[in-house]
Amino acid sequence: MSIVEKKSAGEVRPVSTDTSVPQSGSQRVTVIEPRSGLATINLSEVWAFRDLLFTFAIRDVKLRYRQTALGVIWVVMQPILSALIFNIIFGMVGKGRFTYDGYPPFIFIFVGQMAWSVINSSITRTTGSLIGNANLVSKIYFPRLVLPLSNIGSVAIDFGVSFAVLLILLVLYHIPLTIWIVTLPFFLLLTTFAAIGFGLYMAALMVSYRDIAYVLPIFLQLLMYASPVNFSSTGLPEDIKKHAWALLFFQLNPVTTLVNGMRWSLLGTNPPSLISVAVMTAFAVVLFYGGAFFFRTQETRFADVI
Amino acid sequence: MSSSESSSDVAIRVEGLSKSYSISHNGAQPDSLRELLVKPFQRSTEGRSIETFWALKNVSFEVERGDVVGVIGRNGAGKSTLLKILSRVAEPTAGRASLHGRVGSLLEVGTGFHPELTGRENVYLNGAILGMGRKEIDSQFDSIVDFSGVEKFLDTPVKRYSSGMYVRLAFAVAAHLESEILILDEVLAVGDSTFQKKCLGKIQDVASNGGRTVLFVSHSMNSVLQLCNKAVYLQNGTVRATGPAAEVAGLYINDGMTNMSERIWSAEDAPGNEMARLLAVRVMNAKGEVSGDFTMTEPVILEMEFAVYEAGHTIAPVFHVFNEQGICMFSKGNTENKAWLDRHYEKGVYRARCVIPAPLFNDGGYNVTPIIVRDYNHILANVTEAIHFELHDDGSGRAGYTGPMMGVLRPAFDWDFEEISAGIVK
Repeated sequence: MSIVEKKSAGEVRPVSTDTSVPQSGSQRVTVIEPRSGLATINLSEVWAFRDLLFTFAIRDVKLRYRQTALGVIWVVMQPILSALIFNIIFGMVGKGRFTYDGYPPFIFIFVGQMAWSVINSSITRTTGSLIGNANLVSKIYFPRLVLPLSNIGSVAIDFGVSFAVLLILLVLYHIPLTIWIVTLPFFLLLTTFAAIGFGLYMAALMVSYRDIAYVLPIFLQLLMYASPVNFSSTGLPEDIKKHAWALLFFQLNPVTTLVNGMRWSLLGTNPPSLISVAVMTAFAVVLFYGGAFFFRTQETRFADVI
Repeated sequence: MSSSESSSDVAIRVEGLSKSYSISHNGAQPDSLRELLVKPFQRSTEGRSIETFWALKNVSFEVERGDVVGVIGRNGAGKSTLLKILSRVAEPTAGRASLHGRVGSLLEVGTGFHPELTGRENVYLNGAILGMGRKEIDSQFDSIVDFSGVEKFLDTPVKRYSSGMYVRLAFAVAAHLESEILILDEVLAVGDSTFQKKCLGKIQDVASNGGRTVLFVSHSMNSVLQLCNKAVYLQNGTVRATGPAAEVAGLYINDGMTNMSERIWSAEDAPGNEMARLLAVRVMNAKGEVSGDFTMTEPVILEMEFAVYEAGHTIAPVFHVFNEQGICMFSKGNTENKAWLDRHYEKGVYRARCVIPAPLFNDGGYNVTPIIVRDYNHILANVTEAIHFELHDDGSGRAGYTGPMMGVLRPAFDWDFEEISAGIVK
């Protein structure tokens, strides 16, 4: 075989979509081309990498309390302590101003915090998932959606532990579970999808704009205080109700529906209106698919920019 | 790599592959949200431009099943970009590549290893990241552990591993990936020499026994010649040559010899500043001829010419010499010649020469970075890897041994022997 020398000239031709095509027989053929046209979300490819998704989820759960003296106790303590703090702030310091639909404030706030932490940690973890794994993104190929989606594992474990704690608290406070507990999976799924959808926008943006890391925590903090996480949405203080814009914001705030829905299924409080749930469901679907779509369009740049 | 072969024998086909990056000057592309928000309201965009840099331009070649192909080229030639595209980490700007068979890629040893997790946990994590299923890892687990030789520390977090153990375990996982095509980016540059040898052996096993295809980047012509039957030589993002490894490697070495052993700058573009500038740097043989090609027993002379524009400073010419793995062999300024040490320079043009005695380095290619330092601590000029020279193995220091010579050095030492007991040993 003789040596072939090549000159650098030659036209560059445009090409079509990026696909993995299974051929006849066992031979796998990977075709690498620039992507053109619209991105597809391609959840089937994510499913093909489900082993990796579970591995990431397990890794994150394992890592969280490595080298801590109390270990798993923190998973139990965190929701109790945060409910306790907000109970002191809203229930005791702001005595009388906020209402709790006749429930003990601690239980009411605990459930609010359960719902809020699903939203908060889904968004925060999803947003950081690309930057936090920058080394992987720039060195190994796998569907990038695997990274944000693997966070569902950690969020689910946290919720599961909080739920167990809640069951104990309900027994202690002599509060029975209601039939509405059957709606819990629905509200949990709705909340997670909406939060991860929002997080996907943030994750893709953060690859280029690290500003997100500074803006997002402030925004989330604001959102929590503006949502009925630590008080009931039915008995708002009069001086707040006077402002029409505040009420409007409260009703438009998607977190209101999510928290009220979760509280309804766990405690049997006043249910959110059917319309608000329907709107929220549509919003969650749009948010998730929009987020996944945006993420996919930005995906090709990740390895170059990160 | 000939196109006359039937397509079923082709493992990798690359056609017109190109990749461009945008380099912005003076903030032409917003880097933070503030710039993105403020930019539309700024009137002046003078001096802003986006330059397109082609890391790869119209690269085409074919690799047959069972080939072990070395991808060679100087830093910035596009080797890593090519591998990133073939392993689907980066997307090409234009062109097409098809890979026939399961692809395993290892652009870095230990990607995805987590320091807090134990060796055992990392084997599973890393295996999954490389694309192995849980069952596949289970069935290979003992073999992986055996190859790595870290069985005693399997349940220790890898942050407590020595770097050698870490690399061994990471490579062991990757080596057990049952892929038909293996893509490796300079993974052999790390680890100790014994383990490197073991890895080379493992790569060879993969290729010859399994009929698998291996594509790997290396700066070491030794590894390429030992391992590869074919080579692709990239230069400035284009294919300079493809063909049998020995011929392509020969061309690569030859290219280095002709154009890199001397650099001369004109007064306008001389590196440096208003105090001093670098005018020329070159490698010379003992006869004083500019050369980039030496045997290991020839002394190598490094020479630098520089102009001093401001009197009264101590000026020190310094050479950094790097081997092909990027390891700095030495950083050397004058400490020996007392007459010129601590001297306060007058305005003028100067020449400094230092001689690297032979034998000292092992065979291979070396890059030289000339630096001019003012008053011991201030760098005035620094041209990274401006010139290059090659040391060829002339058999010295081998005494009949024919295998690869390990180590960055191949020095000559004084040895003493004596017979302390004559006759038969009990």
